[in-house]
This record gives sequence, structure tokens and C-alpha cells, in this order.
Amino acid sequence: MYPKSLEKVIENLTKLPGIGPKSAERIAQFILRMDENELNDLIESIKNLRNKIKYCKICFNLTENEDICEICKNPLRDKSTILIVEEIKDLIRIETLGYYSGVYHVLGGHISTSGKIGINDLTINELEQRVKSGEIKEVIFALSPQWEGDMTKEYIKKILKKYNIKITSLARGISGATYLEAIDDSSLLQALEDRKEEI
Amino acid sequence: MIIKKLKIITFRNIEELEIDFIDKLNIIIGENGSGKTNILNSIYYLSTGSTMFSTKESELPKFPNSSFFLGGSFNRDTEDIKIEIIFKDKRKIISINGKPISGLRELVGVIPIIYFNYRTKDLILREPEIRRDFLDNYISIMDKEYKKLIMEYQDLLTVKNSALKKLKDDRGNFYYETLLSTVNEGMYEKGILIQEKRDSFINKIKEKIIDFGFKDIRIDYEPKVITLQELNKIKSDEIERGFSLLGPHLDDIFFNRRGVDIKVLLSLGEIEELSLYIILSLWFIFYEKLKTEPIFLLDDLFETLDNNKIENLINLLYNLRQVIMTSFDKKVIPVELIKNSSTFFLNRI
Ligand SMILES: Nc1ncnc2c1ncn2[C@@H]1O[C@H](COP(=O)(O)OP(=O)(O)OP(=O)(O)O)[C@@H](O)[C@H]1O
Ligand SMILES: [Mg+2]
Ligand SMILES: [Zn+2]
Repeated sequence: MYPKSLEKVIENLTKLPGIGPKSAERIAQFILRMDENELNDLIESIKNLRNKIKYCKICFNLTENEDICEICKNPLRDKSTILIVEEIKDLIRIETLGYYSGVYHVLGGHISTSGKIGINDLTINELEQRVKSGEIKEVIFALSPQWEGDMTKEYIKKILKKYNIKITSLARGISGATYLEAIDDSSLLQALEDRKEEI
Repeated sequence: MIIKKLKIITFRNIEELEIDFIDKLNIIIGENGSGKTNILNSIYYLSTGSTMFSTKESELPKFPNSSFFLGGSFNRDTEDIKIEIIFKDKRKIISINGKPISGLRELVGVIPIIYFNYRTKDLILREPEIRRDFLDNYISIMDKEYKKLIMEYQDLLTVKNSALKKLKDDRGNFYYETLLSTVNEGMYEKGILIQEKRDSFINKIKEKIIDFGFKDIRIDYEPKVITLQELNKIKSDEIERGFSLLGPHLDDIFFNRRGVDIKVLLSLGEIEELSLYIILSLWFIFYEKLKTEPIFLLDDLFETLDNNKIENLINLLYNLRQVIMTSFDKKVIPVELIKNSSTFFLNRI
């Protein structure tokens, strides 16, 4: 048995993904012998990560030091069009195209069928609040082209039905691609341009 | 389709075993508990990626091991197919020709197989769930889309039941009501397709069973048909009960003679015989659909049916491409059959 405080560190480290008891033991031993300044640096940077990186209060993109992200703050972006994605990585993917000029909404996944993600775990209420505010003219769905993504879309469409907005969806034809990541730039661009109005 | 070679390492009671099979008849002989059924189970598992009778995979490694290996060399026309399953650290890796597959669906239609054993009669004797499993397992062997539909439908059912429970505590909650109607639409769409496929599958079995001479046996599919109106009608009932009351997850098959359940009409031997012919009908259904002869695993035939019934069956067996059967005693097997087959003797380990 190690002294209590060392055990505690090992126990906490094993909670990290990919770190088993053996690695945790090794890391803890290493920390014990680490240079004081280096250690403080490490602790500080981890703390900062949590304090400084936040989710944008509007769209749930990541931001540093601010409540509102760069995209939502940008006066040149069209605030009346919202593109709905499942994950931040999807947002980044579409941003790299440099074509889309509206804003986003990150759901945080799709309704999960294993029962792990329910409607309350997604940012659907926040999306509804944005639409309710009345400034929104169009929402565009860019969810994963699997049936879970479809079901999530159908659900949100029903929620937003009572608001008088245009609802569109990325054009399909990107067959075979399971996630936005797997779609090449030009097909994604095409899908965005050819987006279809949902009924 | 035939299996040419089977290799087993620490699976069930088998430490290590390699068997070569021939085209046509193979008979595995060994006393009770020697591992005959385990060998057939291993071939079924290799072919489908799923265990029979929902045996837990953690129970498959030979005690006290925690891993096992199964390898099969199959042959279809001129094509050799190698399937391997490694089970280790509570996970299985299945590979086809050395390439790991990413989902069980990739195995669908590759090795058509049918399996008769002492549990097959449960299809007639026991609860509806067993008949649904029978449909799901065997339709999945030949139909990729069916397998996908079933998996998605099952997922939707989970979401629906959780929405119903939420609504029970929070009547009229707009969000869960909306989720429920979204899920209902999905289950309706998939449910119809599942039931169409089940219906046509059962119809094919029916035809074949009549061909086999069971003229007065009726096999009636009893689908719990979904309509959106009906779903609306029973909504409050479903919320009250907290689970879904309509859909293919509640389907059944009614085996009867002029409307009377054959459970109460036929003798146990007759029920065994009928269930064996139901399995045999699948041979023809798969052959027609997949254009390759399924492998037929036949456990304990001689211990199950009387000589007369076996006699009737043997000519049919000779016409199948490959049959792998078992018996605990060479003496109970007709001499003619032994002459025309390849036999293996298992020693109790
Ligand atoms: N995980 C396991 N590890 C070790 N032994 C096992 C395991 N699972 C099952 N067994 C043993 O395997 C034996 C059963 O083998 P099997 O059912 O294949 O026999 P069989 O030859 O078909 O017998 P029968 O003639 O009675 O049908 C039993 O003795 C059982 O205890
Ligand atoms: Mg047995
Ligand atoms: Zn934002």
C-alpha cells in the first residue's frame, strides 16, 4: 500500500481515458519527483483549461475567456440563419469551407437509442429559445446522415413547427458517408448550396 | 457452401481440436458430455457471429480460460472463405479472409447455415419470444436489410419505452409527447417492412412444409400490425403501462390444425419431426435466395425420431450438399448411413 495521498492521485489518474492502473502508478511516481516549477505549470494549465475554455452561451461552440464565441460575436455573420450540427467538430469542418456565413447551433450529439442521450442532454431547449426570440429566419440541419440523425431532426422539426421559419436540410447524395467528417469538401459545399426545404 | 476444416482452441469443454469435413455426410460420435453439441455450436457461431440459445459469450471459453479461438475454412464453388473468431478480454474479433469486420452485418449471407437440435422444438412448444428470435436469426442470415431494420427497431423501442415512462410521471409534457410521436412514426415505417419480410418468409416455410407432406398443418403468422391511428388510440394505455403495446416485437406464429394448437394435438415425437422439417424448409429458402447450399447441422437425430421417421428423412439428407450430424452411439446409426459418411469419434476429455 502506498501512502494515502499517493493512492489518491493514482486513483484519480485512472479516471482519465486510456490510463490504466499501471500507467497511473508510473505517472504518480513521476509527479512525485517532478521539478516544483514544472509541476505548478502543469497544475495551472489544467486549471486554466477549465476556467478559460467555455461553451458559447448562444451556440455551444468552444470559446476562450469569453461567454460568447468568435462566430456569434462577428458582426458580419448572418444571425438569422442557424446551421444545426451534432458536434463541435462538425462546426469546424463546415467553417473550413469558408463558405457559410450564418451562425451555428451545436446539439451535443443525437438522440441516442441506447438510452444514454435523452432529449434533455441535447441543447434543444436552447435552440428553441433562440428561434422563439424571433430573429431567426432559417435553420439548416446538418446532422449525421444515419437514422439517429434523422430521428433527431424529425423531433426538432416538430418542436420548431409552431415558429414561422424556414427549415432546410443539407442535400443528400452524399451517399455512403456516415459522418460529416467523411464527406469531401466539394460534396459538402454542394450539399450546403443545394439544401432542400423540409416539409 | 461447405465447411472443410474446423479448428477450435479452448472453446467450451474442448481444449484443442481440428476436424476435416467432407462434402455430404459427416457424423460425430461420442458419449454424453464429450462435446458434440459444442462442436456444432461452434460452427453455428462461426457462421453467424451469434450464439444459439442466447448463451453468454463469457461462458464460451473453456474454464478457467478467458479466451478462445475458432477458425473455419469454408468453400463455395471455387471460392475459399476463411472465418476466424478470437475472443479475448471479453471482446470478440471476427475476421473474414484475415480482415476484421466492423459489424455483424458483414457476416450476413456469407455462410448460410441451418441448425436442428434439442431446443428446436421450443419453437412450437414455448413462448412467442422464441418464435420471434427464430424469425430474426434466420431472416438475418440471408437478408442484410432485415438485420439492420431489426436492430434499429429495437433501438427505437428502447427510446419509446423511456418516453412512455417519462410521460407517465409528467402527463402531457410537450417534449416527450413530441418525442413519442417521432419515435412512433419511425417504428411504424420500420415495423411494416419487418412484418412484410416476416410474412413472406413464413409463407415460404408454409409452402415447403406442404411439399414435405404435412398437408393439414397450418402455420399462421399473427402480426401485431401497427397503424398510426391505432397507435393514437392506445396511447394513453401505453403511457399507463409504461411500455409499447403494438408492433413486430409482439408478433407470433400460430402452429395449428384446423385452428387447434398443435401443442395439444401432436405427440412430442411428432412435434420434433415437424420442427425438423421447418428447419429443413429453410435449406430450400436460403438456397433459392443465396444460390448456395446451406450447411445443415443436425444434432442427436437418432435419439430424437423413430426408425420410420429417420428412414423417410435419409433420402433427403443424401441430397443435401453437406450435413454434420451427431450421435452418442455408433450402434444406433443405420449401417448404410455409416458407409456413406465420414465419422469422427470424440473421447471424453
Ligand atoms: N465453458 C466451459 N468450460 C468447460 N467445460 C464446459 C464449458 N461449457 C460447457 N462445458 C462442458 O461441456 C460438456 C457438454 O458438452 P456437449 O453438450 O457438447 O456434450 P454432447 O457431446 O453434446 O453430449 P450429449 O450427448 O449429452 O448431448 C459438459 O460436460 C459441460 O460441462
Ligand atoms: Mg449434445
Ligand atoms: Zn457561439
